[in-house]
Amino acid sequence: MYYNSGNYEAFARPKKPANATKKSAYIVGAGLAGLAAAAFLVRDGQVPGNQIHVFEELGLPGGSMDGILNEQRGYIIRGGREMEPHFETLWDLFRSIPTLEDASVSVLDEFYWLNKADPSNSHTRVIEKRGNQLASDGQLTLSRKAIEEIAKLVLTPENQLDNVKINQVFSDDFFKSNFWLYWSTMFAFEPWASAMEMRRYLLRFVHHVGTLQNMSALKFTKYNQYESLIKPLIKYLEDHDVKFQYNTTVDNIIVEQTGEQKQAVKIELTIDGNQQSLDLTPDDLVFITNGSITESTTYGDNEHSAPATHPIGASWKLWEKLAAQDSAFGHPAKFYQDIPAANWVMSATCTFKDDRIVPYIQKITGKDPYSGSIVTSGPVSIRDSNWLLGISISRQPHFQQQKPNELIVWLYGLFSDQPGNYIHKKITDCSGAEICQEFLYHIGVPENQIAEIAQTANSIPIHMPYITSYFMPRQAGDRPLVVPEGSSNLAFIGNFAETERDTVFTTEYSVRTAMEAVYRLLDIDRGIPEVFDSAFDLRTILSALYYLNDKKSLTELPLNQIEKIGLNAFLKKVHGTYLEEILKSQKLL
Amino acid sequence: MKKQHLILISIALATGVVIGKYLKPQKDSCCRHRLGCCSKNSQISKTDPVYLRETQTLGHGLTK
Repeated sequence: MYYNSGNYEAFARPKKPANATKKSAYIVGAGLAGLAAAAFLVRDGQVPGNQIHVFEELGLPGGSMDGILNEQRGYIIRGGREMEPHFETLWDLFRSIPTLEDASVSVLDEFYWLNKADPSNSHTRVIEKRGNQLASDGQLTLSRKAIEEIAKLVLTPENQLDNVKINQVFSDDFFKSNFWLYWSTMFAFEPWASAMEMRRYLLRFVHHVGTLQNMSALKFTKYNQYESLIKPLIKYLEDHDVKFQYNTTVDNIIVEQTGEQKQAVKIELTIDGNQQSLDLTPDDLVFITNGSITESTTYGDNEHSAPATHPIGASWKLWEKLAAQDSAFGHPAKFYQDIPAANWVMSATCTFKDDRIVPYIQKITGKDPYSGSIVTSGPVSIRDSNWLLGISISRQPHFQQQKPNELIVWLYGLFSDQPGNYIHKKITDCSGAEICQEFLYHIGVPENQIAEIAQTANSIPIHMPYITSYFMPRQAGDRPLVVPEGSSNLAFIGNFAETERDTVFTTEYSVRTAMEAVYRLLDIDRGIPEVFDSAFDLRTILSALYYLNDKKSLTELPLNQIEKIGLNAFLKKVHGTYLEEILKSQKLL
Repeated sequence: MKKQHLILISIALATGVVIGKYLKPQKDSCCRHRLGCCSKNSQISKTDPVYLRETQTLGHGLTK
C-alpha cells in the first residue's frame, strides 16, 4: 500500500489482485467504515459480492451516520457531518456510488452540483445576550502569545504529545480568543481533549483558517446523511450481492500468533440470541470496527429526559477481547473510561410547526429557514450559554418525508455538568421540551411565549455517553494500526484505528481506514489518495498566518524594535524574488 | 590580544544577550501558572462564561 496525490492515479483502475476470487471478507459493523470497506472490496478488490459478509449489531446500517423518522418519537438526528472538498478517500468512494433517484448521477455529482448552487456561508457564527451577534464575530481575536502557542504545538512532534491535554499547552490568552470558541464548537473539542489530535486538526485543516468565521468551506448533503449517503451505498452493495447480517453481535475474534505472524482463525458471534462460531482460513479477511461513539445511545421525548446510562456495548467489549490477546490491538479503556463530566453527551432534535420562531432564526442567520437553502452553515454557538449550546439548521426539508410546515433544528450542549441559564437543570436531566425552552430563551423568544412554543414542538433529547471518546487524550499504541504488524487477514477500521496524519470524528477517517485496510490485505496496486497536503503548501501556511492575525500584513504585525529590524532586513533580502511574489499573493505584503 | 579576538568576543556577547533576552523559552508562557504575567483582560475570571472557566478544570466540573 502506498499513498499518492494528483490525477494520474486518481482516475486509474487497479488490476484485479491475485486470488481476489478466492477471498471472502467478514466485516464487523455496518457504519460508514464497514460499508466503505465492502465497497472497496467490490470496486477495487473485485472480490465477488456474495463472498462479502457484513455483521451488524443493530437492525439497520449506517452506524453514526443517521437520520430517521421514528414512528413513536418523530424525527431524530444524533448529529450532522461537516464535509469539505479535500476528503480525498470519501469522494473517491462516492464518485462510484449512484444516487437512488438517477443511476447516471453519482452521489458526488449530486453533492457537487448542490453545493455549487447553494454554498455555505454563515451570517452569524456566535451569539450572546439572547440572540445578539457577538460584537467581535468574524475576527479570530488571537493575541500574539496565543498565535505563538499554536505555532509551538504545531512544531512539536506528535511523539512528544503522549497523553497531553489541550489545556496543558494553551494559556488563557488562547482560550479567550474567538478562534478557540469557533474551533471547539465546530469540531467538539473540549479543554481536556487530546493535544495530539488538536495538532493533527491544526495541520489537517490549515487551509480552512481563513474560513473559520463564516464556515464557507463546509459542504453538506441534500438530506440527512443516512438518506443521502448511506442508503445509496447500501443499494450499491446490495446490487453487488453483498450479504448483510443484522441483529448480529460479534463477541470475539480468535487470533492465532505464530512467531511474528497474526492470523484471525475464528469468529464467535450471536445471531438473534443464538451463539455461533465461524472458522476462518487465510483467505478469509476480517475487518473490525473497534469502538463506537454512538453505542449505548438513549432517547427521551418531549416530556422525558434521555436515560443517562453508559453501559459498555458490544463494539467496546469486542475490542477489549482482542486487546487482551495482543497489545498491538490497542487500549480501548483509554477511550471509554474516565470521560470527564464536563463533556458533550447530549444533543436534541426539535421539530417545530410554530412559525413564531422564524423571525428569531432569520435575525440570526439572515435566512428564511423554509427557503430550501442552507440555514446555519454549521453551528451557531451561544457564547454565554452554560451548556455552550450550539444550533444547526440544515437545508429544509432535512428528511424526504418531512412536511412543508415542519422545521427541524439540531441542538447540542458541550458542557453537561452545569445548570442551564433559563432551565436551571443540567442538560442531561432535561426533557425535550426543557432543552427546547433553553434554546428559545437564548435566541431571544419572549419569555411569555417560550413554554407554549416548546410544548407544541416535538423535541427528542439524545444521550450519547461516548460521543467525544475519539478526542480522549491518547498516546501512540492506544489505537491499533489499521493492519497491525504481522497480520495477514485482520484489519481495524473506523476512527479508533490508527493511520497517519488524518483526523478523527470525520467521515473521511472512516473511509480512509477502510480503503487502507482493503488495499493492504488484498495488495491492491493503486495509490491511496494521501491526506490533503495543504500543511506542506507554503502558500497555505502564509495565508493561515495572515488570517490568524486577523488579516494583518507582515508590516502591520505588533513587533518590537529588534524584530522590526529583522523583518526589514528580510524584506530587503527577498525584494524582487519569488518569495516576495508569494508573500504578496497571500496578502502578507 | 588581537583585534580579531576583540571583535569575536563582542559578537559572542551580543549573541548571548539576544538569545538570553528574546529566544530563551518563556517560563511564564502560561498565565494560569503565573498570575500577573498577563494583562487582567486576558485572564479568565469567575464572571467569564462557563466554557472559559472549564478550561481551568480537569473536566470534572467547575469548582464552587
